[in-house]
Amino acid sequence: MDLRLTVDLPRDLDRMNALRHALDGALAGLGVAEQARTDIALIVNETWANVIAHVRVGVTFQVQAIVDEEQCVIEVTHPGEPVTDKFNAPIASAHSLRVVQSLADHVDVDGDGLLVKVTKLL
Amino acid sequence: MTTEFTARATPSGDGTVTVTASGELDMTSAPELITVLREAIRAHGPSRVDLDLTAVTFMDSTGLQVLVAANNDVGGGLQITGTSPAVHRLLRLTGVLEEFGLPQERSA
Repeated sequence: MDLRLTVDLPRDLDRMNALRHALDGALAGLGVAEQARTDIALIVNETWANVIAHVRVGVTFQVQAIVDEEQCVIEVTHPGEPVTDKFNAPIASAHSLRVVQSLADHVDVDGDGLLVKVTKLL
Repeated sequence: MTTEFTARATPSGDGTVTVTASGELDMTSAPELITVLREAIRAHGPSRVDLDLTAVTFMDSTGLQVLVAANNDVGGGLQITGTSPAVHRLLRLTGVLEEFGLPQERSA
């Protein structure tokens, strides 16, 4: 089993609530406990918020949530764009990173301060 | 479950304003709360703003940033009078409960 939700930002900005609920519903259907689902919803939202803070004109980001039996991995990628200095910006909010680090089991942050991979064990 | 965010300001006779919010407070709805808080502060110049977040079912750090900014706007006079479990958890995770006059444990 491998469930994957891909969000294109900023294109999907207006649909983020619906997408968060879709992911939550899918996780509930898979029997994931409510506490873990609440944590994942918050991690996903904080990751999106962080990405939006990094969006530049003409640059798109993808945020993927990949779920299997053991974990949910939330990953930020820049499709078709090499990661260069143009993404060099401070993290959107210290609160945002603190929330993600509190809730996740593992956080990989790249040198630019952009969250790239967050793992939550189920 | 209501997810659409709403916020309403009600002035009291004693110079305070109560703002009651409900729904999901995130980066898409935060501007709505900013507008309501800013308008209430501009119109009434309150000494204190009481913010009731009991019916806010989801909140992220974008929403928190609005609360921190509003608290500064009223000179530290923003009091959160009610929280949902989701709101209380976010405020606890980010270490700002005390700043808003809230206890570590949420009372039912």
